[in-house]
Amino acid sequence: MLSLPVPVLNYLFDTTIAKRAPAYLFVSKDGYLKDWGGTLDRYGITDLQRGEGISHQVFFLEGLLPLDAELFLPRLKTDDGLCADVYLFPGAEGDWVLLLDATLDELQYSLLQQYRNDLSLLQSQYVQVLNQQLSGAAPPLLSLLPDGERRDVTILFADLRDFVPYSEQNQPGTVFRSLNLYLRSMIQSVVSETGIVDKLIGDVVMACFGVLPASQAAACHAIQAAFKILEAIQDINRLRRAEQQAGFEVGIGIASGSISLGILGGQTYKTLGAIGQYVNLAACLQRQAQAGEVLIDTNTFNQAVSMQPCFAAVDRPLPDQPEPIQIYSFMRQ
Amino acid sequence: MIQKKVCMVGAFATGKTSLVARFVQSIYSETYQTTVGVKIDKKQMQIGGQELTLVLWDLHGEDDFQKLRLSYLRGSSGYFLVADGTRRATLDKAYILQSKIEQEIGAMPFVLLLNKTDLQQEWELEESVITEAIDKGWTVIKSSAKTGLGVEEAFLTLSRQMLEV
Repeated sequence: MLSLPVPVLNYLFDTTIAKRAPAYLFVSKDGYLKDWGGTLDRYGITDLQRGEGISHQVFFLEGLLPLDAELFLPRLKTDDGLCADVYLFPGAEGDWVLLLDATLDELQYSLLQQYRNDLSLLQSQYVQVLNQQLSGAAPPLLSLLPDGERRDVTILFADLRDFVPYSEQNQPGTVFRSLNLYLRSMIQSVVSETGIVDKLIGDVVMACFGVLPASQAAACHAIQAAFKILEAIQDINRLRRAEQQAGFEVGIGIASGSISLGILGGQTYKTLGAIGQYVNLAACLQRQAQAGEVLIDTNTFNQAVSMQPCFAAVDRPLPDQPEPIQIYSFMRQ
Repeated sequence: MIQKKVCMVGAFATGKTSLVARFVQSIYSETYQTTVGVKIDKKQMQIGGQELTLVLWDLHGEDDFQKLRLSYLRGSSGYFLVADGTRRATLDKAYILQSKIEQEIGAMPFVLLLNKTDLQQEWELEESVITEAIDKGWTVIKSSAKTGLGVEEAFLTLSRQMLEV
């Protein structure tokens, strides 16, 4: 038995248990209510009758009793106002049902879960639309010549920083759950700005803007997508850190210009193919970007006039580039 | 009066909550709101002259982050396996969940609901899928929480199966 001084126990009770409106029911092994207490009315449990069957008085207990082992039912809700973590454990003369308020926990958890599910749905819709486009099953929103063509587009690369060491130190399940969470938010940001996710390479997203019809210049959409990615990453990091999990930063590179664009693959698998020096430049900018930074090339800067005040000219080495170019930086505050 | 516990099981966003809302309250909402934990409702029915109260446990949908808690299924008399006909992967998930339930809790009556039939243009399931499930002895019903198609039939079917056991 844990031995703690009474003031410590009182403090723990006041700050953890008492705040969660504890209530209990005690039920005989043959299913009759023997005793109860605490703030049961808060959970919509009223008009209890001692000695009467429990499952008709507290309907959510139908089928659960008698117990042969402990049972935990987190975040249980009814129309009676109940939102509780329900703990059930057997005693010598009957079974105990303990209720602790879970309203706050449920609220926080549901926000996170809603976000995750929305992203998952969006991703599957995106994949459906893109598959239809590439297979020619849908009206040609994406119009490309069969043998490819040169087109002015904007390429974005976004990379999760320090994810590789994390992947080495954690179980694959943990790694892929985390990676999917970040990638879904990055994909959503791209898709919402009329971009196409061209490739997912580990923890890197490569996207192409200027292929799907859009209301603004491709460069503007790409920069807005980059800003959305930074914001989404911050939101995820906030939630993960609240759950004592590692958070990650992202570095982004964007370049604009004429590249070769076509559809790669055969009957069973098709994907968009983007090749050219501006693809390489965007990848290079992404590698040079610091955590939380967006680096863009001169073409992107010139095309996204309304966003120029957000960026400052910087000097960064750009290895393997044929000519020196001016680059611009936006650093998240 | 007979009271039976029934669980709604399936991947996330397959329409479990909407099916319960349609059955219990005859309402439908277009807004997708994820279920966290479990929401419990009840509904009284008449089956062959018998009065039956269904205690409906609408369990959170399973995804990468929220795994199905089998403790929620304790004491169930039957369950609905719900798949979204516009997302093939949710049927795969339904198969996995059914196997998990049978292995860890045991066999009990269940009905496979292929939901969202109102979205015919986006439907991803072929008729052969239904035939395969029926060949395994499963009860399969196409449903739409939006239009109400198949919903009453599904609850009546499962109720009858539970009362026969």
